[in-house]
Amino acid sequence: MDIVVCIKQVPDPEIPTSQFKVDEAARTVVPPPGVAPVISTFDLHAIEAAVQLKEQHGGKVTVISLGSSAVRDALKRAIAMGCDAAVQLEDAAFEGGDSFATAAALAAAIRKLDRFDLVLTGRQASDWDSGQVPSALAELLDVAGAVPVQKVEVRDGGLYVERVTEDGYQPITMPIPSVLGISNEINQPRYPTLKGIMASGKVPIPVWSAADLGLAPEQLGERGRRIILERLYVPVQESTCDFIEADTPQEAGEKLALRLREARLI
Amino acid sequence: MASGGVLVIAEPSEERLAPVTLEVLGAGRRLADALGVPLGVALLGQDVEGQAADLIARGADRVDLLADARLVPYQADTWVPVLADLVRETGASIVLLSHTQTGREFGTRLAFRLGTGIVTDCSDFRPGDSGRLVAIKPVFGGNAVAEYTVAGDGPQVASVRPKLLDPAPVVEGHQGEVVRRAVQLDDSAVRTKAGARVRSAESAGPDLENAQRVVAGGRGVGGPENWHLLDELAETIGAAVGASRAAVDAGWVPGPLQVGLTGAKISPQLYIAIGISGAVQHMAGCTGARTIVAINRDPEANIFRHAHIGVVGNVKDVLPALTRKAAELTGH
Amino acid sequence: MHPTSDMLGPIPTVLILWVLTLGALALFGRSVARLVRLLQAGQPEQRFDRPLARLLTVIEHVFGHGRLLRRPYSGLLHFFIFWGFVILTIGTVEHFAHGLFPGFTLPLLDRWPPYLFSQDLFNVLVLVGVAMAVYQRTVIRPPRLTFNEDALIILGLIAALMVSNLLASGARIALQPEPTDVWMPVSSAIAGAFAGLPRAAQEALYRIGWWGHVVLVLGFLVYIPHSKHLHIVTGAPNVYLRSSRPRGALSTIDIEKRLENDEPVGVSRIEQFSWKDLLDTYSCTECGRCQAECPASISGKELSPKYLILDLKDHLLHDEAGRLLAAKSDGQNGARGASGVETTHKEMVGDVIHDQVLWDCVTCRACMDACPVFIEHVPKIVDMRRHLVMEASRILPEFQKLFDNVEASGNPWRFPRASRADWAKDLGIPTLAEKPDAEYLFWVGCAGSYDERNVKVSVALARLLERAGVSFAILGTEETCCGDPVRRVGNEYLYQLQAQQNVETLQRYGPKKIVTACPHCFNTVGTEYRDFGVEFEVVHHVQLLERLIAEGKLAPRDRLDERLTYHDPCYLGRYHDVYDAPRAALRAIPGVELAEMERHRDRAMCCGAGGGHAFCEERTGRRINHIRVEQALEAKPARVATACPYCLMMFEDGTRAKDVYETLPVADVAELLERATRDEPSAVSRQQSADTTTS
Repeated sequence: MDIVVCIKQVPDPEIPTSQFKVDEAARTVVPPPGVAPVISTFDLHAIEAAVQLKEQHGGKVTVISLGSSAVRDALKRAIAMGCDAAVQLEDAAFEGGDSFATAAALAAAIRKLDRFDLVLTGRQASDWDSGQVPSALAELLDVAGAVPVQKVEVRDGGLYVERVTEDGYQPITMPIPSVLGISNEINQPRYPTLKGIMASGKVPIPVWSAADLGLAPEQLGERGRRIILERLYVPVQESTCDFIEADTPQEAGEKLALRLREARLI
Repeated sequence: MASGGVLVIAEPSEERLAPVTLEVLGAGRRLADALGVPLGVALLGQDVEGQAADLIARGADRVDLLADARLVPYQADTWVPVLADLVRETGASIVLLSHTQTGREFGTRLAFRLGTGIVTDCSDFRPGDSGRLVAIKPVFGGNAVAEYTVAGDGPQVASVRPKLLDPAPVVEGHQGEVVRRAVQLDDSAVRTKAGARVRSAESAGPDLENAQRVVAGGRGVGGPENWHLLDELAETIGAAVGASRAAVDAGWVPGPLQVGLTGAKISPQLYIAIGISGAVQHMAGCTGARTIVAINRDPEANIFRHAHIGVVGNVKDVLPALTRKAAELTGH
Repeated sequence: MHPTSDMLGPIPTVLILWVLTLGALALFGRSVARLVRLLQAGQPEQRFDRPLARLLTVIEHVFGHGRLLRRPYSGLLHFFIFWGFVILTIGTVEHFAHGLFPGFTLPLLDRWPPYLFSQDLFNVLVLVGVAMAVYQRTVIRPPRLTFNEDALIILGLIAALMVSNLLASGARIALQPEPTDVWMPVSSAIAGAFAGLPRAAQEALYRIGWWGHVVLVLGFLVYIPHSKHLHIVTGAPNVYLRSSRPRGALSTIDIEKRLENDEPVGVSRIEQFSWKDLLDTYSCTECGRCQAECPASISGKELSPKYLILDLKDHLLHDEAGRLLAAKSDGQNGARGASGVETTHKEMVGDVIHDQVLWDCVTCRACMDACPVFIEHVPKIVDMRRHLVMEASRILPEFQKLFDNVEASGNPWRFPRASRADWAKDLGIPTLAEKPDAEYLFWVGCAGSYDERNVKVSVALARLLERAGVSFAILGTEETCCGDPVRRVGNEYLYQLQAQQNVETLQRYGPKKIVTACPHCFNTVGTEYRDFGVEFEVVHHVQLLERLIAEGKLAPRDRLDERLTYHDPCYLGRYHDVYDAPRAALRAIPGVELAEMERHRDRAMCCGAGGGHAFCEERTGRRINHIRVEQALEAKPARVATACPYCLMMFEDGTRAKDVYETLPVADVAELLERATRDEPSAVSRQQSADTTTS
């Protein structure tokens, strides 16, 4: 099975709220100093799912990411987890793109590979939380797609997929190839083995530009956006909390019960 | 610009009108009123005609009924082309749907099928310049807020965060029409075969999602051996039980109890957060709650920035007293 | 008396004796040779340095039964049997020599009264020992001992050996008394019982005794390599070959070189252990003392250090012996795919030793300290963890998170690197960059820098150092996790990355002395970093504080009228023998009454945080820290004192769980000393105790 995994490097989602800063004029997030970016959480699950499928069915896993040289660390981590090849997409023209513009570049890169049976990516990225890339890729590649996915198995030359629903899942039979947006319920991403870490330093990672992908400028970056970011800001926390005063925690508990009863909340 | 009207896409639901559809309908009605355009609802399914009357009663000017066996169970390969045709035919300039696990799939694909863009998981809207829609949504796990418009001239698609908005109220004497449309579907273009939804045994079910009162626990509960304190409180005040990701990851409770950005989004009347630090990813699941009460031993915990009522103290000390007193007061 | 001067039918009995003896020796030799060849399948290891120290250990613990006598009943009975064995071996040699070479007598010894008496005495003492052992196994039945046939067979054999000896001896005296027989009172008494019997009967008894003894000795000889009594042969060598590395120092491997040569970085197959590790498995006596001290076993986890060793032994001798011996003869050491019968291959890590067994260990070393033959359990566990982490990638999710956190932010909780020194920002503590000539580098550690509760200890220690006029500085944000937790869990790669960073920083500054507040940092920076070619003088704060008190630079004057109990942190106590300093420091506080828990000093039970367990949940059995709190409560203290940030966290977690958080406060020695040296009038200890324990 030839599998492609699309990953994104994002600012560490675990930084404390107090450290989170936004440049409103530039409409960008200012990451705190000394905190390294990480692979978006759901993408880790996608990488793991791809590697597991390869281990079961043979084949090759190629991981692709769009970004500057920092993204190579993310690609190396993916290789250390078991991916076989990696591609970095870098071009000034990519800057300022939204999910769709990014997906256009990714789709062009996927088409440039020999072949693909399956494209996996995280259901949404931990930064903008838009969740559009899986569907955009399916549309651009003109294949079937499903998101969010908690299980995928190869069965009878096709795929058995479980799509997450609010109270369970929906089983779907899908063809090969398909695009799947992977959710966290599917697996536990592995920690890279030492051999993997060592190998990741040796696998060459080619860099493809917009020209390599044969994309026209209007499909890329700022021009290729389908949605426009008008404003970005950190919301001001207005509500003040009314603390219950008491001498002992037990007393506070009792006072709380009284308060809730008075407010007809219980 | 906005001549085409607002089109709300009803959440796939054969048995009854999905509550989230009513939430989006409410938002759609407000937008349609502000822009002075009609409000339509796309109702897809097999036996869904009975839902049309309620939609009209609650503000839909028009219900586009697309009834076809092939539309059940839902799958993107059938819904997206059918909806794309509908949007083109009705000329809607704003398309709204609920950002459910299903909506996020077909809404996004529909937008790209139509060659336009979508803003997903919106918490609010406002009219922008020249009648364009400005969609507002939380980003970076809830740490920031972004405002978007859809580029180009095509329909502006947006999915609405579930459980955040009020459902559309009944509008006294509202009239509307039901338009039965033929479903044109190229079967050869349907590449997938979906089965009926399977309810997970461990699922919190409707309890957590729809409960009016929720008691949720986090790392501050200390361990699974203390969880009974929450269960007892929940039972006493008639609440559903939820959890933060920390408690689920630690294995104290099953996954479906998780409230948060990637878990259940709930908007109960009363949300009691117990031993929960209040990280943004968790708050994203419960900011819809009317009254948030927080119990945590750390007075600096982030949850107190979101809570309306706070108690600083150890969970093991506060809960039993709270439960006891509540039982006494409610005659439980 | 010539026991072998007669004939059995046509065959001279001396010939029978020769055949039996040579046959038994051959069988014994063959078994031993096989065992030695299996040892040779293991990896090389240097254990022949410091011969004098090694010899002294053998004298103290093998001949002197040092560790064995910690359990006096068992120790005593073993003392009898062991020394009986040693002394009676001389007699046995004489016995056989007598038979093999008719007319032979042992020069000098044969009629020497002390020798004769020793034989009789130890014949009896061994029987006493056996009786005590049987009583222990059948009546007392301590859980650490497996009640099985092997044990009773052995005891029966030993008893029979003694009885046969006495029988022969008594009969001999009856048949052919000597004047020196007065030195053999027991045998003489037996002879007296035989006095009335006809001569033929006495001769029969003599023969039965004599030949019975021969058969039993030879039988025993053949049996030894196949039972736990192999320890008779390997026990003393195993003690001699004990590790001479500092206790707390795990092996540092050259990862790059190993990967280049395609060698493993962890242990997943039995032959990847060293020959000494394999010898450990031969030496296990199944006494179970390790298990009785192991916090995991005590709290109902799957891990039992005893069964760990025995399972490895079993795996070596039964599952893998065929392959290893065949491979040896093929010239490939331990190669897979050796010819022979293909049995279902059992994975050593996974099938034989379950993953969870390896994760259960808290690396407290109580097992190793208790073992009378100095078996090394913990390094084997860590070696296998290294396989799980770096090769198999089968890691508990919490540990994966731990690795990610340490790698990303240099501390186990992913707090930002930039805020590592925030705890000190208002205290005016200089960094080493600002004050390079400071006498002491205060190595704060991750817990002391980031954990709310432990920051209070760092502050207390800083105040104490200031009060004592000690010049010190911190590394601030240049300090990063020492690497101990990830190393213990098995991520040697990440540990080396962390260590190299710290070593580089330390080499750059070249501090004269380092004081730490955390026993884990103390162990790693002080002992383990030496493998990187650096050596610093590192002390733990209790050692420094005790010295400052002794020198009069700190004078605790404010009373603390409380009954305290001190919990010995494993990495300070068992790892480094620091037991007295903290106690002396506490006693220096006026009013303090120090009560000891039953399990204290080297017998202290771990708080449960070691081996990475501060960062993961215990999924089965009881929580170790809950049990330890119960043990503390038995000493009826008003407060628990300790000297380790993790012990502090585990204790407070435990007191909360057991609802005694208010009544049993926990404090670090530094905190208590700090309060005692404030020189504030009317220091009301109770009120002050409320200050430090609010969270």
